[in-house]
Amino acid sequence: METLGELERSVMDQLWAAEDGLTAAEIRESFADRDLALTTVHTVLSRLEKKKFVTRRRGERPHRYRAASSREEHVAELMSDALGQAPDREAVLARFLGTVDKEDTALLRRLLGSS
Amino acid sequence: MLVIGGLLAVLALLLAWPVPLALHRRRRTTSDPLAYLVLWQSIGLSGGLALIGAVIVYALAPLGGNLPAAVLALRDHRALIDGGTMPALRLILLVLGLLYLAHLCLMLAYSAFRAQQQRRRHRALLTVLTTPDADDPHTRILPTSAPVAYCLPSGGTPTTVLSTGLVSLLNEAERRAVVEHETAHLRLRHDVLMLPFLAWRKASPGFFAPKAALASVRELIEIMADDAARRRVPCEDLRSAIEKTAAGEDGGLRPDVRYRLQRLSAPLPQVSLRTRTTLIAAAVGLFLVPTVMVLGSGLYL
Repeated sequence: METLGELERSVMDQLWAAEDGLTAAEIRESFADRDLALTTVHTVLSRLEKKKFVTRRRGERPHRYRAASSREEHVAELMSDALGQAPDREAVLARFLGTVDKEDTALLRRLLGSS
Repeated sequence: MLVIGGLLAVLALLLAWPVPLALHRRRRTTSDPLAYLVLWQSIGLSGGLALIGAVIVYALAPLGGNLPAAVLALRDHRALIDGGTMPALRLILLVLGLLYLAHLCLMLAYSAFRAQQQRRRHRALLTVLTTPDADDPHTRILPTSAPVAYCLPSGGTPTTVLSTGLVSLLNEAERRAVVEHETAHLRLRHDVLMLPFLAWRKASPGFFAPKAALASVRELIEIMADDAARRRVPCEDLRSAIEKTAAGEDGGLRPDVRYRLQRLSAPLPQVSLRTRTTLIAAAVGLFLVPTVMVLGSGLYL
């Protein structure tokens, strides 16, 4: 039994790989081995949309879903929390090495640049 | 009441600069980081109380011999009616004092709320970006070359995040040491301990005391997490994990990291009961002094 979280990750992996976006039916097809119901795919997509990970254009039928940002951009967002760019970092996460320094910032920039 | 107001002002001044400076300078000498942390909490609370108390006591002084009488006089509007005993300057000070108090409380609530929101967003990102570790479902692996490790506090299941860069950099034992250090942060609720200091700094930007407090407390919680971790894993593993992850591009180490390594090279310092009792007593006393002075002002003098 797969959790919703794992499905969300698999769907995002698909969308990051597909430049033109995918419809719910196409996503379901690519999961043929898992025998997913179309409603499950829709549930996952609407969850991802609410979290602003995917977008769809208005007036397109059937809806084509696209990744809102690249995987690298999201990793950079995660890292900026982890490396202390977030204003209330200590309250949000505790990290192995204490305070921020310039190297962290340089590292972040490199991460973003190499994406 | 004026004497009390003056004494409170002196206390506020001491706690705004000389006392935090002295404690900040000693942050890397203590054998008892926990007692220092309590002392910092007390300095923040006491300093705030003394400052607000001084302003309110001064503002209300003409209204009565003690605080309850003055507050009653204020409530009955006797002070504000024509020919009342409350001059405009004191009224303005009273409002400012109360506004600062409200501001501090709001900032504390706001910091907690923001942290909650950011944590939720972070959790959502982790869901789509990381995979659970094969050995430990509470550890998640982030595929990126940078060596990072951190933990995400939460009410339910705590999550430790390790990057593939870190995993490939460290051996199995060092990795366990890192996880122990992170888990210690969670177990000791360091995220909650930080909140008042974040709120204090946000409410008083540019002031020395909150800045020194935050910098000191940041270092102290790292030391406490190291101390907790080395009770469970070999000290050398933790030390080499820090060495490997902390080395900057030029190979230089930050002073606080160097101090942690130095502390890890010596046996765990024994905390003497006397030191701890003295420091905790100082913290309690520091908090009680302005409290008693504000509540009891005019009753004894």
